[in-house]
Amino acid sequence: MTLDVPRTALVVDDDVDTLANLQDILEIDDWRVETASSAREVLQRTNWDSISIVILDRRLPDGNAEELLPVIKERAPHAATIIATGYADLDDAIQALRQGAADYLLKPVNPDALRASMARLVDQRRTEAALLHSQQRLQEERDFAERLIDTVQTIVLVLDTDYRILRFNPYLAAITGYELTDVQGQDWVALAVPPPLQQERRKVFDEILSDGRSHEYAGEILTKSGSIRMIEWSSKALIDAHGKTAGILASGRDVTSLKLAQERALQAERLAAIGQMMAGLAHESRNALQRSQACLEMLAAEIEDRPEALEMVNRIQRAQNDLQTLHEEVRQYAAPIKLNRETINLGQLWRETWSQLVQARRGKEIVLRADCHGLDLSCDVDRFAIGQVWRNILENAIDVSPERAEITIQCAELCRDGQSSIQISFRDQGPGMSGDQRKRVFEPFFTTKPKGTGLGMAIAHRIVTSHGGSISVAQQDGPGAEIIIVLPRNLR
Amino acid sequence: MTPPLRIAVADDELDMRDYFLRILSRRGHQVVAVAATGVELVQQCRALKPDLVITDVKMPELDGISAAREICTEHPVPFIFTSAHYEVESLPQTGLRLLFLRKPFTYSELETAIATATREGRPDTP
Repeated sequence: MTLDVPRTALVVDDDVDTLANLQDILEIDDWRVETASSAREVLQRTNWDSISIVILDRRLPDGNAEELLPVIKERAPHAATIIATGYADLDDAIQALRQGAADYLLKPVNPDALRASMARLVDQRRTEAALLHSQQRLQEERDFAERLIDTVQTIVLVLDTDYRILRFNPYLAAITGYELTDVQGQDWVALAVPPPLQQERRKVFDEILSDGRSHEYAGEILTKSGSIRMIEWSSKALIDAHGKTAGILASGRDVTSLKLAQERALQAERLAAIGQMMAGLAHESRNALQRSQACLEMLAAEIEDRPEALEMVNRIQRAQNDLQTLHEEVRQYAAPIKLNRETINLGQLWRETWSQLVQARRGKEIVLRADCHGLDLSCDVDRFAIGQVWRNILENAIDVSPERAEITIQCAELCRDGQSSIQISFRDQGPGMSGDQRKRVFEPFFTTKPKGTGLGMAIAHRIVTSHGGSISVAQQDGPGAEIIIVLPRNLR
Repeated sequence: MTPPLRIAVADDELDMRDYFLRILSRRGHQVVAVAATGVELVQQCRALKPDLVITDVKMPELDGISAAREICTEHPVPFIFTSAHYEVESLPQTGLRLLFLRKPFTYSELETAIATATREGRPDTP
């Protein structure tokens, strides 16, 4: 930006000779001169941008300087006005100065006095322009810095030496839920540090203030709503322009979700280790169960003529069977799933499963009805695993069904996450599930049956999700529970 | 009921050897050999030429599958393998017909397996 003041002057005088005289003087000094000979002309003028100095005759036939000055000031705020006046008007001229004129000249105008006045005003203009420019620059810089602080996706928090809040950025406002204006001046530690950690945090702040080094530390904060966020801070003492410690500048990163993800990964790892152990345990116990089974059978053979004793053996046998079922289910639930996927007709698979459930249906008249409207039911799944899912669902459905009942299967084509999928729902005519049951049905060991391990639906859940599908319970209060499964048709 | 058979059994667990001996004898079979290792099983089968072998897979010295391979080169005989550990796909490829009974099993499952093994072992049945 150039700081040159435009060298165009507007001379206003009703006397033609004076106009010509002033024009001559100014043009010698390299001014471009425009003229006006009446107040009306001044008032009608539209282009004021180029004018930096106005030389205004104190008295015009149709008006005077007092009336024109405010107009000029308004239309050309950057221009300076010199009042030209006769001696007799000096008091009025001084009055004009008070109204904002920059200078006054006595008529007839002395060329040297005019030059001196013009030079002085140009200087003044230039200084003002420079000042304005630097102010603008400063403002721009400030706006920029402000925008940076407002935009940056990092916490910026400034505290005074008593750890009171001077300011923070919208990013921190969004995390904490506090508006700066509401909490400015409050003790940050008391406001946003969980009480058990406050003393320790003050100690950290004391150190930051005293040693001038940058401090990195993990520090939780308490939000307005009472939740805890994990922040990784990097803080340093803030030094003012005079070299004095003014407070603390703390920047930080919200690592809550990162930490949660890490914890979840750790948890998953721990669960996998436990799962492996459980699977191993269940597996290893087969040998012991076999020996127990063998001895039971031998014992039964020894005492086959003693019905009461034999009844005891039968009871042990039932306990043993339950234990074996439990172990197998735990193993199935906990062991790593290896899927052997092939294209299978899901409908054929549930019909096979249904026919294997004769024993479970004994004593009830239950019809399995499928409404699939000719939908193609072929799907890439592990035959054994999905058969297990159908079995677990159908066994439950049979269990809760009244003596005469229907179990309905409905199918639909579905596109999920851009993948062609099949939705299959199994609906029984039992009492249905309560809200709590619906929430917990896939939890391991959750069961509503007097007998059963509570792993059936958990295993179904695990198998279906390992196929990239989903399993859920329809959100409705009874009667009749509905399990909904979505399976992607193809391997991704 | 299967006709009485001359059966050799092998398991490293005493309880299981005892079980096979008592239960099979009780059902009219003749238990001609009771081995605790694969090596013992091979030796006894060589000498006694049983109609059927029921053997555990995991045994010290020589496992049941390797023992079966040795026995069958000299004297082909139906086998029933019992194991707590197998997942069928993880078994070594042997070229033998492998009839498996997963531990824990009951006598009725064992009986079914015996019927299957001896039927499939006899070429004249359909």
